[in-house]
Amino acid sequence: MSGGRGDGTPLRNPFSTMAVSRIVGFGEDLGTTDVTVETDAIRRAVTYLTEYLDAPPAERGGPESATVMLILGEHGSGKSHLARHLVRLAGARLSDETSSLHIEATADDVLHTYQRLLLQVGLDRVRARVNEFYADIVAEQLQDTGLASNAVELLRRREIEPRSVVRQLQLMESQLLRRVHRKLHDVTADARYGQALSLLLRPGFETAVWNWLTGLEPEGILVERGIATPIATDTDVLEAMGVLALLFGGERRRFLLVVDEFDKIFSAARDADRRVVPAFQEMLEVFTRAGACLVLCGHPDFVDMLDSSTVERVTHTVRMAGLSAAQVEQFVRLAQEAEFGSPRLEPFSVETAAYVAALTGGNPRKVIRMCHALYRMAHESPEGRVTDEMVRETARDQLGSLSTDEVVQAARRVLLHNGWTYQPDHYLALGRDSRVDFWLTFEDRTGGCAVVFTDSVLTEQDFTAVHRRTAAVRKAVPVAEVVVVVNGVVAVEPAARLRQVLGREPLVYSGRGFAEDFRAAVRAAARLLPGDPRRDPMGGVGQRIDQINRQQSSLYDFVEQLADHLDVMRTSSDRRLDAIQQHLAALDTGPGRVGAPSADPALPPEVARLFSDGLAALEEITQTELMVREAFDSAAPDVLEAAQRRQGSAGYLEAVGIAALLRQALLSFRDTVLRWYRTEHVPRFAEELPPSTADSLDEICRTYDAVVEYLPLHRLEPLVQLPPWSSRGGVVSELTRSTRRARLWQRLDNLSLHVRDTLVRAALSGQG
Amino acid sequence: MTLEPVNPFAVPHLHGPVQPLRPFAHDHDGLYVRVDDGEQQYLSFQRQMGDLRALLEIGRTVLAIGESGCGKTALLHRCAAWVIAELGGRGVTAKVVDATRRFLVAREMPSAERLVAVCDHLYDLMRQDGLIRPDADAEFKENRREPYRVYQNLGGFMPDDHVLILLLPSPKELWEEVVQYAGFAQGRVLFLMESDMLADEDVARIRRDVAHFTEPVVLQVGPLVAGDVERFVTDRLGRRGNTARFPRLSDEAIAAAGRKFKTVAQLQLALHSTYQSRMDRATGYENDAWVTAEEILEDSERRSVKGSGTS
Repeated sequence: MSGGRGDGTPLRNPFSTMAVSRIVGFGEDLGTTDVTVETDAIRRAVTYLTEYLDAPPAERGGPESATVMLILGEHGSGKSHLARHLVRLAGARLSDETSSLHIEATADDVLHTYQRLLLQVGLDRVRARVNEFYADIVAEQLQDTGLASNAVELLRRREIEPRSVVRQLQLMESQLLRRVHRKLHDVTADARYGQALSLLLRPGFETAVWNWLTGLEPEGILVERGIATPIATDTDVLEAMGVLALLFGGERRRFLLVVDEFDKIFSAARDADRRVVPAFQEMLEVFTRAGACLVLCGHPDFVDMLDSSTVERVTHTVRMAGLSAAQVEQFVRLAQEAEFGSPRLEPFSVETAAYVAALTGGNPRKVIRMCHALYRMAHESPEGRVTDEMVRETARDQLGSLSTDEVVQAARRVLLHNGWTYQPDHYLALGRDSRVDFWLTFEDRTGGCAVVFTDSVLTEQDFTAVHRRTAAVRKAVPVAEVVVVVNGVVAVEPAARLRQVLGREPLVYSGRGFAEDFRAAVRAAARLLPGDPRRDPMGGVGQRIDQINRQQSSLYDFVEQLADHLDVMRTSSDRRLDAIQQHLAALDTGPGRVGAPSADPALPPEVARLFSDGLAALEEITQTELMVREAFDSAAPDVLEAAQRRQGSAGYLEAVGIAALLRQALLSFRDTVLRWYRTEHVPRFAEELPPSTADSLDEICRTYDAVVEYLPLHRLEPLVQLPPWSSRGGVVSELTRSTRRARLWQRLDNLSLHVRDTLVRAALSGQG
Repeated sequence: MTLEPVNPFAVPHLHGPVQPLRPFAHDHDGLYVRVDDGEQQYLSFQRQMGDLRALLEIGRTVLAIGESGCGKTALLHRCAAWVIAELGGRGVTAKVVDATRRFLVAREMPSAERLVAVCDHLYDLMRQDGLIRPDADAEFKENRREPYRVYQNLGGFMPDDHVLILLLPSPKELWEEVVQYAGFAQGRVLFLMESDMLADEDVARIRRDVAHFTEPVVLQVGPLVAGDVERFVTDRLGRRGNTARFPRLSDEAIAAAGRKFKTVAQLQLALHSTYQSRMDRATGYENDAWVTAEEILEDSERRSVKGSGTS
C-alpha cells in the first residue's frame, strides 16, 4: 500500500479530514484533480446549468434565458460540493470571469451574505462592469459620427479605456456620463443604484460608493446626490442582490450566483421581517429578468418555507441522494488517483466500500470521514487492508451517539412524561435473554410492550443477539410487542432481517427527535396489543385516572422545577436591578434627594426606604445568592461543606422558600405603588388625597396584605438562627441573632400601613 | 526669405492645445471667435452687468453651463478680462483669483466641506496677490475657515479700490452650491462658476431659491453650429496670413470637420494635432500644401487609440 505504512513512511491519507467543506483533492482547475463522483443529482444539476450556459442569446428585447435552481439535501449530502462544482464548470466555460460568481453563505444573515458576495465580486469588477457600459456608449457615439472606427472596435473588445478615448478626442464627457447614468438607472431599475454606479466613473467618489454598496451609511457626497439611506434591511439587501444580477447578467451575458445554506439565512430573515418573502420573490423575478442563473442550496425543509408563488419561480429542484455502494467504490478510486496518480480501491475492497455505503446511508460527508479513519487504520494494521471489523469499529466511533445509560435515561423521561406504567430492567422469565430494559403494560390491553436497547447492529452476530432477546420476550409473554432501540447504526442486511422479525423498523437513536420517535413507536406497539376482555369498565376508568394522576404528578414536578428555576433567575436579576437603582439614587444629587437611600428614585425617598429596608432585612437572613456564588467562585471544600450543612439544617429550605416569596411580594408591592404614584393624579400641597386616588392606594396595600396573609413568617426563624453567610463562623454573628430578628419584624410588620401613610404624607407635602 | 513653419492652431502662452484662453493674463482677447454661441453669451454678460455698479455695490455671481468642451471656461475668462478692463478705466483694480485648481483632487468632498476649504484657501491666494489689507489680515486669517464671516466681510478685507474676481470650483450637479455662493456675494466681489452637469431645470431651481437681487447671471454655451467651423478655421489661418509657413485647409476638409466634431475643444484639438503631425514630418509643410479631410480623420483615429497598444 503506498501512501505510507508502519515502516516509517509518512502516511498520505487521500481522504481529507476537512471533508466537511470540500471533497478530497479538489483542485482549482476543473478536470485535473476534481474527484466528483457523478451522482444523478450532480448530473441533473450540471445539465440544467449547461443548458443555461449554452442557451442562445436572446434577441434584442426578447426574454433572456434564466434559471433558478434549488439544491436540497441533508447535512453533509454534498450540496456545497455540488455548488462549487457548478461554479467551476461555469468558470471553465465562460471566458469572462465577471460572468461567474459564487458565494458560500456561511454568514448568519442576509446582510452579511450580501457583503460576502460583494467582497467576492470586488470593487474592481463592479467598476469594470460600469466601465463596460461607458465603453459601449462611447463606442456608440463614435460610430454615429463615423469617427475613430479603430477605437470603436477596441472599445467593444474592452481593449481600450473609454476615459482615455474621451480625453484623446475631447469628446463631450458630461453628455456621455449622463447617458451612462441613464443606462444604469434603466438597468438597475433604481435611481439610487443608477446614481451610485455612475459615480464610479467620476474621480473622487469610488470609496464612498463602495462603502455604501457594502452596507455602510452613505457619506455626505452621496447624501447630497440623493443616496440618503444605507443598504441595511434584509429587503434592501435582497434588492441589492437583484441589482448585481441586473448589472452582471442581462445583455447576453451569463451570470451564475450560488448561495449555499440559503435556507438558514432566509428562515431567520423571514421571521424577523414579513417583507422579506415578497422581497425574495422580487429578487427571483429580477434574476429571471436579468437572464441570470441563481442556485440556492438548503435543507429539504427549505421548500416548505416558500409560498406557492415563490416556488413557481423555481425552474429546477435537485435533491441530493446518498452515494450507492458502487459510487463509494468509485469515490475511493478517484480520491486515490488524485493523491497517488493511479486509481485503486486498495486498501478497501468492494465489500468494505459497500459496507461503508450501507452504514453511512451514502452520506458523502460521513463516507469521507469513515474512509479517512479506515485508511489510517489500515495503514497502521499489519495486514494493511480495511476489514469489516474496522468498518464496524469506525462506525461505532463516528456514528454512535451517547452511552447506553444516557439513551435509557432519555427513554425513561419519555415514559414518565406520558404516564405509562413501566418496570425498568425487567426479567420476563428465567434466563438473561428475557431481560428487557423496560416492560410496559397498558390498562386496556393484554400482554405488554418490551423496550430493548442494543448497540449498533452490523453483523450476523449482532442480529442474532437481538433476535434471541425478542424471541425470549415472546416466549415469556406470547402477547408482547417489542420495540428495539439501536444506539448506533444498523447495516442494511441486518436491518432487513430485523424488520422481518419485529414487523417494524428498529428505532435508531438520533439525539434530536428521539423523544418524539420513541413515543410514537411505543404508541404504535401498544395499539397492536389486543384489548383486555376481563377488565370491567370501572376498573378501566380507575386505571385511566391513575395514569392521568401519574402524568399530572410528573408534569407538576416539572413545572415546579421550572418555577424554581425562574424564581432563582428573577431574584438574581431583581437584586441586580436594586443595586443599580440604589447606585443611581446615590448619584442623584438633585433637590430633595440628597442622601436618599431610595431603591427607586421616582418614589419619595422615605417610601423607597421602607421597601429597601424590608428587602435588606430579608437579604440579611438569606444571602443565598452570595452563598451559591461563593461556592462556584471558590469551589473550596469548606465552602461547599458549609453550603451543604446549611441546606441540610432543619427548616432551612422551607424558610428560604418563604423568604423568596415574601421578597417577590415586596417587589411587586413596590412596583405597583410606583405605578400608582406615577399615573394617579396625586395633588401636591393639598390637605388630602381625592377619594378615588386614596381608594386605589388602599386597594394596593390590601392586596399586599392578602398576598402575605398565609405566609408563615414565623417559619423564617431557622434563617434568623443561622449566622449570615457573609459572617458565618464568627462569634459576633451569634450575638446579633436577636438584633436580626428584631430588625426583620420591625421592617416587615405593618409594612403596608407604613407605606400608605408615608406615601400620602410625602405626596401631599410636595416631595418626590 | 524663408518663412518659419508655425502651427496656426497653437495659442501662445498656453501649456496644451485645449487650454482655455486667458485674456486677463495674456494677450488672448483677439483670439475669441464667434462659435458655440459664445459671442452672444459674452454680449449678454456685458448687458446684464451693465455699468458694473451692482458689482461694486452688492456683488454678482456668474454661472456658465454647457457640455464639456463648449467653451465655458474661456467665456468666463473673457468676462473676467472685460470686467478688469472696464473697472481699470475707472481706476479700480480688479484681480482674478483662481480657486479651481486646488480642488481637482482624487477625493470628492461634500459641499459644506468644500465651501470651508475654498474659503480657507482663499486667504492664501488673496494674500499672495496682495489683495488683503494689512490691517484686516489678522481678522481674515482668524476666520479663514468660517465662510459666512469671511464672505460677509470680504469687501472690507480688500483695499477700497480693489475688486475680487473669484473663479470657484465647479459645483457639478449641486445647484444648491450656486445658491449658497449667490447668497455670499458682497460688493466688489464677483463669483464665477461653471458646470457641465447643471441643466435648465437646475437653473430654474437656482432662480427660485435665490433672493432676487442676488440672482446669478447665467450663461449657456452649446455645441458647434453651422458656420462655426469655417469661422474658426478662417480666423486661425487668416491670422497668420502669409507671414508664416503652414499648409491650407480645403473646403472639403472644413466641411468634414464640421460633420465630425461637435465642440470647439474637439475641433481645436483635432486641427492642432493634425498640423502638428504634418509639421513633425518635415515635408509637406508649405503654404501651397493642403491638409485633407482624410488626414484630419486619420489623426483622430491615431489619437483615439493612443495608449491601447495599437497606436
